[in-house]
Amino acid sequence: MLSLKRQTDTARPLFRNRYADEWVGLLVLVALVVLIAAIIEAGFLRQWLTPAGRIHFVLPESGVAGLAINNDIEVMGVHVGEIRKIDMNEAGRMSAEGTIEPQFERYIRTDSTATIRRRFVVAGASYIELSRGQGQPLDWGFAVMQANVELNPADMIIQTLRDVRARLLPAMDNVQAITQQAKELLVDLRAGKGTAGELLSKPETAQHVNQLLLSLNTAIQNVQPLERKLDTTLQEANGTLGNTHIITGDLKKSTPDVNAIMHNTALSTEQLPQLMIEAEATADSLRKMTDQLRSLWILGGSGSSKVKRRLPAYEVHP
Amino acid sequence: MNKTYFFSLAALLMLGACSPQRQVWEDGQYSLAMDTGHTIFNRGHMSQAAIQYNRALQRALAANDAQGIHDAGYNLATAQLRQNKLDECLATLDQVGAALSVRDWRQQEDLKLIRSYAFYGLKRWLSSEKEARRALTSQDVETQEQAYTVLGLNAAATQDKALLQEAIEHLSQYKEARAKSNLLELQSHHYLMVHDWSNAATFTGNLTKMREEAGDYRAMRRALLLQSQAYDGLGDFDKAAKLRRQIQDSVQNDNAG
Repeated sequence: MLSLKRQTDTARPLFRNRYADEWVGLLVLVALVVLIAAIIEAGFLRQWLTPAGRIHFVLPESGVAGLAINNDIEVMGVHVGEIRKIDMNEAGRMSAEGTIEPQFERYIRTDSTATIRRRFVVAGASYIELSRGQGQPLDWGFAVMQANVELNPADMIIQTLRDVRARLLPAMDNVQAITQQAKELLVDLRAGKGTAGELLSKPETAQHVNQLLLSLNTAIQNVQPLERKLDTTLQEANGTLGNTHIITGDLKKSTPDVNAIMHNTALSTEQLPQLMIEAEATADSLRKMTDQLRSLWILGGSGSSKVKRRLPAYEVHP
Repeated sequence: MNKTYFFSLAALLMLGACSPQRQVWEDGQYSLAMDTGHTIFNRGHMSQAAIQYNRALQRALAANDAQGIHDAGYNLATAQLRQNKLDECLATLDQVGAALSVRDWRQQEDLKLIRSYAFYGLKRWLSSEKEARRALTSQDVETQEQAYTVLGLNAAATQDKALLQEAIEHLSQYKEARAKSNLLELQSHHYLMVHDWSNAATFTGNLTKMREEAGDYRAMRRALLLQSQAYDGLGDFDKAAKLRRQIQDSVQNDNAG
């Protein structure tokens, strides 16, 4: 111990700072301040101070589709919370409780829907997908939503196949029955049973068909002269059409004359109203003259008053 | 000698020219339409006559001439009645009656007569009788005659013997040929009504002849129908059937109007 003390006394210290402890304390304080500032800046403090919203999901009776504690809750594909608890009440209904980050609470409203899905459609962890709502805000004092399980495509395919099978089997049975009946029918036909069978099996039928064909052949031979006559008639019609064409050409040539005639007619017609007016005026003059003659006392007229123009009463009868 | 004749004729014409000219003003187009209508009416073309009378009526309305409205309306309604266009006839009478009432024209009894015949054609017997009684107040003798005739026809249709007798009595006072034929028609109805088939056949035969001579073929067909009824009553069904066939022929070939 003495030797150590001697050596210490004799050795010169490498670094001496009279305020080293103060500096260390200051450094620790600065570090604490920086740490607090970083925490505030990162928002952790706000998160810690703001409690997460709690939401209760009433799960379907058919099952929870593999939903488990710590499964995700997503809104619009964003992770917004987790399943914290899964309970079963006395009635046997299952419910789940989850937390929602406060900043996403405004997207979850009364018209939002909760769907339990699997991460990889048919496999993977389950999660609850919440749709964005537009209705009234939820009561975050005790928010409850009904959760549905998204149909599993594999289950749907299996169900569809079951349905197809259920429909196909009776149809196949029917086809078998029809085939059997067709087979029996053919057998009967071959055996000459029934009206159709008799028709097919009887040699008279074939004879009738042959006779029919012969008649048809005769009829065709009779039609052939008619066809020749028709050809002649068509040729004549063609000639008539040619004549018509020539007549039309002549008519076309005479059109200028017709136009002139029409022009003259139009001019004459223009004068017709004038002629009519003149005729009416002449008739009026004649009538006046007749009236004057009638009124002459020398011709037995009274020379007074208006001419009676009413029909005699004896003309009134059915 | 020739000079004497010439001067005498000239003197007569000059005297004639000196006669008082108190001609009442008349619209030329109205007069022309009325005269044309008369000519066509007398030839039996009722539809064409109606066109002319309608033109005259419009002209009279344009000229605000009450006498013209009355005469043209009366003629137009008569032409429509003769065509058996009874609804049009009544519409014309309504129009003319309203136009005359506006112009304080009271003498509308002759229009009532036409209305009475129109109602008779529509089988509205009571209305027809009512209008005929109004027409009886007319000062025009012909109108009275025709009013009694339609009264009698109504009575025959409704089997009213008393009214038919009344019409016959009044109509027998008139001497004109037209009135006599109307009287004969009413008497024929009377005999048919009392089942005096023999007299009915005689009277209807005479009536048919009178109507035929007067050129009123529609009235002649009515008389033929009455005659066939009389022969039915006598039991001569063959004769009755022949008469009906004659009516059919007359209807099919009568293009008048």
